[in-house]
Amino acid sequence: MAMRSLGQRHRDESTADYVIKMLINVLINFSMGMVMCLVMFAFGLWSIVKSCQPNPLVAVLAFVGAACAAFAFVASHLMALFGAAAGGVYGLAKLAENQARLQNGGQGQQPRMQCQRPHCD
Amino acid sequence: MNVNRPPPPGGAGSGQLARLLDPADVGQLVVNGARAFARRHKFITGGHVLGLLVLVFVGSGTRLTLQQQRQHHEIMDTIDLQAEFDASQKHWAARNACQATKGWFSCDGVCQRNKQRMEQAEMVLTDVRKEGQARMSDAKSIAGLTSEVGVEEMKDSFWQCFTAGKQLANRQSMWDMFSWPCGV
Repeated sequence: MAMRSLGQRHRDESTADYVIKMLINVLINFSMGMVMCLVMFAFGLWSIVKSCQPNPLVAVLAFVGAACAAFAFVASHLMALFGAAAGGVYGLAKLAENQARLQNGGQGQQPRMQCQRPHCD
Repeated sequence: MNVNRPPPPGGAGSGQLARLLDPADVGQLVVNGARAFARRHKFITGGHVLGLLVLVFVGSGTRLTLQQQRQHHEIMDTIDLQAEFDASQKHWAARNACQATKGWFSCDGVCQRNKQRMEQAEMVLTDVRKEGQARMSDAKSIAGLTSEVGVEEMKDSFWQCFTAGKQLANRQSMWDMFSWPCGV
């Protein structure tokens, strides 16, 4: 029985380990994809700006503004993604903690109830 | 002698359980972290704020006046799309002919002739495309960079890159998901 519960626990841990690893992997992949998107956009942006034949000051301002806007969007997107992932993990951990506390509380009460008999010690 | 010892710092009764922070404390932690980051990296934070302001206030650019619209359309109408289509067709046919006559590691007389035709067709196509792009550039200069035409083009370019980045991330994650359990 103890071996079975140990095996179950080991399997649960390995599943949780796999899920967390995958989550981190997905987050890293998305970060890399977004950074790549930003770099690609910045390279293409100058040709778009140049094709409109603006004066140099407007060109530089438009380039900086558009690059900042793209950066802000990508950064906000990544923050939302990381926040959602961290929130999800935190929620699950909190749930597990509450569950463990409940189980521990149940086990902890048993000896106390046994010791309520006179001359227990 | 009965000595009352203080409980262990890990928690009363359940020393092995690590206590997680409460949601309110987590919120405070995030706010403090963001504040500290903003103080340390002023350039990045400034860029982020500027970008958000640009997104909010520039929106979709200034509207074209009627005169600008008319001039823009007039120039755009002079672009010969049929000529580009014909040149593209000729180049495609010439490339197919060249590839059909090419050997594995050699190119005989017929292949050389087809190759020359393909190069000529490619030059014609490039010239036609350059001419079209120059006219498009003239039309865009009438509209201006901050007009809806310029801003729309920038937005299209961004969404194209964004979709490409997202697809790359999805594909890579899928590969990782399939390959990890196999230990690859």
